[in-house]
Parts: sequence; structure tokens; C-alpha cells
Amino acid sequence: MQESVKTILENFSLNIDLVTLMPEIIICGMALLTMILEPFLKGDSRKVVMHLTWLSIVAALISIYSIWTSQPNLQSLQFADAYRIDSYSLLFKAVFLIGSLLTVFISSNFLKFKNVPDGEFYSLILFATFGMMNMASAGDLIVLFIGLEIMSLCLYVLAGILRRSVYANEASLKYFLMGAFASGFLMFGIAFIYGATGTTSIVDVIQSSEILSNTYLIIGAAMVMIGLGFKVGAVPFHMWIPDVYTGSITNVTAFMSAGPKAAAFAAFFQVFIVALRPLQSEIEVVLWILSALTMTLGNILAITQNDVKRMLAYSSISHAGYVLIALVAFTPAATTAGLYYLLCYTVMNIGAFTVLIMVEARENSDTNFSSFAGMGRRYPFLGILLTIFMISLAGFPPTAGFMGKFLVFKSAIDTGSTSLIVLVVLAVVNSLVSVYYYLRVVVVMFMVEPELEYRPINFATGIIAALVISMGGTLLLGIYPQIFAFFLNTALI
Amino acid sequence: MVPLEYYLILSGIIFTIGVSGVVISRNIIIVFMSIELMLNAANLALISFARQFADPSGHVFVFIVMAVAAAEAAVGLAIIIALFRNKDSINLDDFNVMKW
Repeated sequence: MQESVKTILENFSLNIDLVTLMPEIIICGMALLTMILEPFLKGDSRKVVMHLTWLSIVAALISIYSIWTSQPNLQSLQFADAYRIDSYSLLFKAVFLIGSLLTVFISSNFLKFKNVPDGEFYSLILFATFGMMNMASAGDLIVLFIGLEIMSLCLYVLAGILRRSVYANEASLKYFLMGAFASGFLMFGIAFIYGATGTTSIVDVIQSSEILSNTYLIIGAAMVMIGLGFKVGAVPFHMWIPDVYTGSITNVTAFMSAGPKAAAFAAFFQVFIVALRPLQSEIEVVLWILSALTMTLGNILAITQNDVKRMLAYSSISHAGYVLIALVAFTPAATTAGLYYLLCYTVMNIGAFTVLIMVEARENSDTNFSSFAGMGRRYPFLGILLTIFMISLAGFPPTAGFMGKFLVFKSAIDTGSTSLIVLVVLAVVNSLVSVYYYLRVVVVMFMVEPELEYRPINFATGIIAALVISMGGTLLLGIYPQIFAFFLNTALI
Repeated sequence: MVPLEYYLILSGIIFTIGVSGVVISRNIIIVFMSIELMLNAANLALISFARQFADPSGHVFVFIVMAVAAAEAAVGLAIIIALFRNKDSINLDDFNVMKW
């Protein structure tokens, strides 16, 4: 034992490259700074925190872009191989940052409307983003676990940030109990993967020639699958999603449904496509079942909802099912398609939530379908925007949702396996079913008369910025996927 | 030396107790303790594997997991206190404004 400690210390090389770590440094540094700064600011000067937050996210995005353009085939292992930065993880980080940026834009006004103290809010958003970035770059299962915990702990607090509301309390409690339960499974699984292969490094797990025991590896894989299944909200581990998404304050719901979901998928891709490739055939079968159940059940339950927020929660379950198809396909092209889908989903989903927040941020308003009645007549332009978001979520051309689905389904069909083609057919049928509940919002908005006079909507600057970005993204990703060609040349593995 | 399997069986038993505690118990604090038990079962498995491989990294992971569990405990108890202030109860059945 003494000897091995010595050899480890001698072979230990941190190999840190600060330039490629810049996005993480910016986000984590600003998270700490906002936390320190916040108590010293009073009144209107508190806006500084919000401005610093979105500026730092933009700075992190710019640094990702410059790393991307200056080092196109980046493959670097840092912190003694525990942290992996490559083009794939950089793109994942860009997706998280876009989600966080849009969340910050829609939050400022809404937090004031709901009387939420806004200082720690932004700090928690930044820490959660930092955790997600760690997950996407993890080169080691332990780093992945820590990243996931950093993200989750922030989200538990964010879910309950509306401290006086019983709904937020309950959302926070359910999220915490389910999330911690899932972490227990994940950690137990990691322990067994370590036991089977003698390493927790994601790259070494596949190369480990002497797998001690296949039983341990299978136990480990199953436990990790349960743990991460909870995090992405795959059926049958989805039961927390509707309640947590409904109970949380709406801008946090928008945040949770975009970035953290993408981060959980990043972890899924890392663990099951890179680390556990020896178990490919077994994993494919399980993921096939998870994917089929997730999209079908999510869709069926979404149909019966009367609350738009809850409907979007169930719809996020079914979208997780579509992304799981990319995991079943198990090819480099599928990993790219999955990532593209997550980017599309982030943009269009937060766009839909932005309109929901505008509707909710009025006197005596809620998130029921009836709150949308008459909106299309009073604000035709906003009505058209929401229609485009809904069409995109349903997966019609020429929007992002269509392009994302098209790429995922194509990558699945290209593998040529019958079971995958069956899955794609199921997914297409599900998309058609989903049209019903997405377009129900549009129907209510344009064709139903409101009971009272329609109360005016407040157009704040941040909200308009978020609408412009998400609408631009939804259309660009759908109409000109060519300009995202760099995306399609990047694959995991 | 006690064989590796014995430790793993013990770890499996502790994990199962933890999982059943989460599923069965209606008291939030007990549910919370059961979750800690699950993490500790993982720690026991990590330690026994690390001992088997004579690999110190496994021992280090245990410390990391303990740190994470402590952070989780801090956030969890804070959430429970916030709940208790609003509802004067720590029974899970009282938290049902939304259907599960």
C-alpha cells in the first residue's frame, strides 16, 4: 500500500491548461463573486448582480467559441486525467450556457413579481451551470458524481426558492428526496464499476483488460442506469418530474427542463457509450425499453393535463424518450444527433416557458389553459411566437424541433437494425399524438374568448431578449442547419 | 482475512435497508437517514474493493462521498426546516397539495 501511494504521487501530473478551462473559471468565479457581492448591495443597485451574471455567461460562451476556433481537434486530459476537454464536451457546455443565459433573461422581472430575493438566485444558477459543465467534461466517474451533486444541490434550493409557498416547499422536498435517492444508486453503481474494473476513469474502464467480475460490472451498470434514469426523468423513474416542475417557480422550471436535463444526458452518453461499451448489447435492450416507455407514457399523461406548466413537464418526459433513441443507436452520428436535439429542445422549450411566464406575470393569473384564452387576439405577434414554439415542440418543419428529431431518427435508421426502426416508428406515432396537446394551447389562445377582459402583459427588456434569442434559435436550427455543420462533424468517442 | 464477498454482502444488505426505508417510511427524517445509509453502503463497497486492489484511490473516493453526503445533509435539513415552518409537520403524507 505504501509503495503504491508513492508511485501514484510520482506519476501524478496535473497537466492543467488554463485557457481551455476558461469557461469553468469564469462561471465559478462569477458565482463566488455574486455571492460575496450580493449582501453589500441595496435597492436598485442589486440589478448589478443580474447584469454580471448574464455578462459572465456571455463571456464563457465567447471563450468556448474561441477555444473551438483556435483548437479544432482539441483532446485534452487534465487534472491527472480526471477532466476531459474535447469538442464534444465544449458543445455540451455551450448548450448549458445558452439555457442559463435565457433563464437569467426571463428571471429578473419575474422574481420581482413573485417577491423572491434575487441575489442568491443568480449565484445558484451559476453554480448549477458549473456543476453541469463538470458533468459534461468528466473524465472520471467521481468527477461526474461531484458535478452532478453540485448541480443537484443548487437545484433543490432553486426549486424551493419561493419559501412561503407550500407548492414550492413540496417541490423542493420531492426533488431533494428523489434526487438524493438517485445519487445513492449512482454512487453504489460507481463503487461496483470500480470493483469490476479497478478504475473509475471513464476511458480506462473500457480498456481495463482484466474485468474481475462481469457480475459486478452488470450490477454497477444497472445501478448507474437507475441513478441517471432518475436524473433524466426516464419512465419508470419519472414520478418526481410533474410535481417538481409544477411546484417550482416557473423560471426555475424552465431552467431545470433545459440545462440539467442536457447535463444528465451528457452523463448518460459518457457512462454508457464510452465507459460501458463492453456491455453494449445488454444496455441497448434496457435503453430500448426505457425509451419506448418514456416517450409513450409522457405523451399519454400530457394529453390529460389542464395546466400548461404541468403539460410541459410531461412533454419534457416524452422528449427525454426521443433523446434516448440516440443512446440506443450507439453510433458516433447518434451522439451528435442527441446533442443537436438537446440544443433544439433547450431553445424551443425555454421559448415556450418565456411566453408562459409573460402570461403568469399578471394580476390574478395562473398557468392554466384558460389563462391563455384571448391572448392571440390581444397580442397577435406573441400568439404567433407561441404557435411557432409549440409547432417546434411537436416536431414540424421548418423548426428546430423537426430538425432535431429528423437527425436522431435518421441516425437510428442508419444503423439498419429492425428493433431501432420499430422504435423510430413508435417515436413518429408519439410525435403525432403530441400535436394534440401542443396545439390545444394555440386553439385556446386564438379561438376561446376570455371570461373577463384580457389583462395586459408586461413586456420587460430581459423577456424580449429571451424571446428574440429563443425564436432566432428555433428558426435557425430548423431552417439553416448547415451553419451548424461544425456541430454535425463532432462526435463523442 | 475476511473474504471480499462478505463485505459486499453486508454492503448490499445496508443498501437494501436504505432503499426500503426510503420506500416504506413516512417520516421525512427517517427517509433522509435511509438515504445516508445508501451512500454509506456505497462507501463500504468502495473501501472493500480498494482494500482488495491495494489501491489508495478507492479510499480517497470515500472521503469525497462523505463530503458530498455532508453537503447533501446541510441542504436537506434546511429544506426540511423550511417545510416545518410552513406546515408544522414532517410526515410525508401531509405534503400532497400536488398529486404524486
